[in-house]
Amino acid sequence: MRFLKRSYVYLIFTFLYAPIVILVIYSFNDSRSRGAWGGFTLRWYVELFQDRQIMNALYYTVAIAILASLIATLVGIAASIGIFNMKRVKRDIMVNVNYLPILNPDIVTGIALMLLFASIKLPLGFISLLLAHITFNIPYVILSIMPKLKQMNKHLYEAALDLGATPFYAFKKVIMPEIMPGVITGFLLALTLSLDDFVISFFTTGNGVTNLSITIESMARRGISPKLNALSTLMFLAVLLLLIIVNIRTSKDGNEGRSKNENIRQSSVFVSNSSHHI
Amino acid sequence: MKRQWIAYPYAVWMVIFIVVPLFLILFFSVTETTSEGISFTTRHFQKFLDPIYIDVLVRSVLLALYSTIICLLLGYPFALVLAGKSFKRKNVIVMLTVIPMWMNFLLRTYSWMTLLERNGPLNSILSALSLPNLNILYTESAVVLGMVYNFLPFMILPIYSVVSRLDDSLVEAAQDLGSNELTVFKRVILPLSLPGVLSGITMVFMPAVTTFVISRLLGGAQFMLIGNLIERQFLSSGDWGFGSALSIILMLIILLSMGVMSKYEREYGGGGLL
Amino acid sequence: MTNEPILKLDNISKSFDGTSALRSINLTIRKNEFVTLLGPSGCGKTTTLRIIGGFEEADQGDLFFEDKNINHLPAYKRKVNTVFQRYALFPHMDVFDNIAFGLKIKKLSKLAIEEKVMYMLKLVDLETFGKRSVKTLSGGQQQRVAIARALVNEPEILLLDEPLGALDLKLRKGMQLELKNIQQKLGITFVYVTHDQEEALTMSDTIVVMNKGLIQQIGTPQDIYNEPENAFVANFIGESNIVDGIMHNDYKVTFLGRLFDCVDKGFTENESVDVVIRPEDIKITKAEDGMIRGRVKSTTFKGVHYEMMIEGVVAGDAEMMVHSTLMAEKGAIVGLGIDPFNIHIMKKGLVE
Repeated sequence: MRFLKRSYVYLIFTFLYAPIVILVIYSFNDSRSRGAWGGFTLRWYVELFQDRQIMNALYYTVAIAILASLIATLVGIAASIGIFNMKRVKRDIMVNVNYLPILNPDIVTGIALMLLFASIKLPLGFISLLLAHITFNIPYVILSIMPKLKQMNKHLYEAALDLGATPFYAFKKVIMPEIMPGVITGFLLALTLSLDDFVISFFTTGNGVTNLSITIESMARRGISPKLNALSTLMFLAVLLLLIIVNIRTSKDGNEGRSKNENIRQSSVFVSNSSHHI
Repeated sequence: MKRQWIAYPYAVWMVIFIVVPLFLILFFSVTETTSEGISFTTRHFQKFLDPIYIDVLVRSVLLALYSTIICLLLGYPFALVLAGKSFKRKNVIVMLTVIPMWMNFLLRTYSWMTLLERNGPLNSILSALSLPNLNILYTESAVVLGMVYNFLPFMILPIYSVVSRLDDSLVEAAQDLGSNELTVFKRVILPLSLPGVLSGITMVFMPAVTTFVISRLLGGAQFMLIGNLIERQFLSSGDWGFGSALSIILMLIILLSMGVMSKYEREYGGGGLL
Repeated sequence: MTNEPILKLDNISKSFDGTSALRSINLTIRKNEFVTLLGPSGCGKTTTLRIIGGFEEADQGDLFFEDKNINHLPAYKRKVNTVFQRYALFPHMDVFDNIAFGLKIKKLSKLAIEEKVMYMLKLVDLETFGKRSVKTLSGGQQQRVAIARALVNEPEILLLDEPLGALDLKLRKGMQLELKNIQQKLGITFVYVTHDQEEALTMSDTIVVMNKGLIQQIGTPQDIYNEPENAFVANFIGESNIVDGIMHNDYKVTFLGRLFDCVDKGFTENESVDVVIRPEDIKITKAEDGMIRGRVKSTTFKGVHYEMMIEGVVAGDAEMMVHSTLMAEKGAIVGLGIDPFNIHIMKKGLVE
């Protein structure tokens, strides 16, 4: 029975990883035709880095992701604290509207923003793309920070004021350290969502500004390209690295008084948060 | 910490970038611009009643349903095994389930284009084993396969999360009361895992029914799901009114299925991931 | 208490979302006084404390600190410090940094901070705990840190919001004495909030009994216990028998079907009143010697005394609770005796 169970798990893992492994192998294949192995090469990696279009897209992807997630984190911190202090009705309205971009299909969010930019005659490009990314990032940042605020002893802030701290000093020395894990989680979540986004970007960019996802899509539609295999390999490695960092961070965060299971749950929540965002 | 005003900038942001755009969709879906100006119309919604479009909707829902069912059939046992005692380093196994999801969604889908190609690796292996070749690229099967591949972890994780939190003593109590393994599963584990199953179903069905990327890449240029239909209205036909009406319909489908799900979730006590 | 007043609450009212939490509170607190705000949850005691601390602003009325109006003075500018319910220690700092928090804001020299914190750690008996994370401390130890963190700022008034609520009984008793000692040693005014009447009676110079946003009585523990002004106070402080009575003239009252002598006066003729008698003030006698008679319905041994319920003391269904070191058997017919000065007469209407 145990053998059966294990085999089943390995079978599913094969299903999940086979495509990735194939891409990795083919990225070193010195032959354009997929069926045959033409010897080892790094040619596709060289070509990848020489591809102006891809490098441009990479630049925009990273620039947009970093800018959008930074801005979203700042706005999100302020918004979370403000919402947390609101009375019931107001808070419920804010929280529910905040959920809209998460629950709405991305394609609807994308065209809604496109209609907005068209209506205010904002030309599609870097700015519109950045605004769109900030918009879909903030809700995730808020969702990461709010639980930390709720967990916090509600008298901590008052205790700081009581001991003579000005509101700003109390925020800096007491609130921020308390919500920091949520802030970092939110920032990383925003960063990855932004790096990965296709649908919303697809509708809100233009004038030659594209990100990696859009470039990959247009290349993939034109057929199979060994450069994409090389790109996949590199991105897979990057993801692996990022996940290892995140995991070390969350397990550090969870060392005190939290069980292993809880940690797993946290990381799976981290993932499921992004479920609607594909 | 009485200050609420620091949330006001975001409140303004929400109005401009979340609320107003949704109203714009609503506005475009019920108006048309003629030479006399803008007037109210139900034309766009009526257009949808054409069998061609109804077909697209039906196909979208059906394919999403198939994918959800396959994900459930594959994912439920997987989650149970994961939550059980078969593996020592559970968090590593869970991590391994998660990692593929963090790979770029388009690259994941693209990888299947490579795999399923007529002369691709899959068929090479099949030929080597002297089995018949599989040519499903650019068919509905490929689209369903792509959905299952991309969304399977969304089914596994919520179920795993619920089942792994089940108290061991519940199972032991059931065994103590004379249940065999099958009864324990039927009477204890299955009902208690339902909240996770519901979350999983929601998390697979929603993105599957709204996707337009998977169908574009694995279904071929002419393959139409409702997502593709919407995209086409905005980016090639320029019929924003019809596109907006379709978006409203899509939102309604999502709302409806979430309503159904949350009704079930309330009945089964909730507690899934969302 | 003849010290000069330090804090004055003048006609303070406060409501939350239309529900009034405080109704015209008037209270004067003197220097070095140990004042306890006592009442059931929701009585407004914590709200009063939070208004003094500067975490809430009163809707109406004025708050004076040494004759200066401090209605709008923010919390961080008040010479008042608070020990919070559940302590509110900063979890990301160690014990030393928690206590030094206020001193660092005042920009004291490192040396001065070190000296003051060490003095405080010694005062609360945690000398070796400076570098410990507050998360590793027991409830009692966290409590001491919270007290040290507040006291190190040398406040004029220390506010304590149910500081012992989370501790177990034995620890609580010990901390009560310790807090009282600290207060006397440092000569600081304490305003203490609790719902535990025993705690209030043990520690306070003055007790303020509150209920439903109103002050019911202000007085010394003896006053409050011996001369409760109304049935609520009588009932809340210790256990009481409260029965209906009629005041005929001064010093004459009828209850439980009999005329008693008492020491109260000033009621209108034949006024309906509440009569309060403490269980320990009722003497058990032989049936024929008692002022009234009854049957022992139950007898429970409580350690120091027996608690007995006596029924049938009157034609109705009145039961009296009696605490006595003498035991009467269940079912026995006994007599009850009450001295006139142990009969407390209260006006009707203030009963909750």
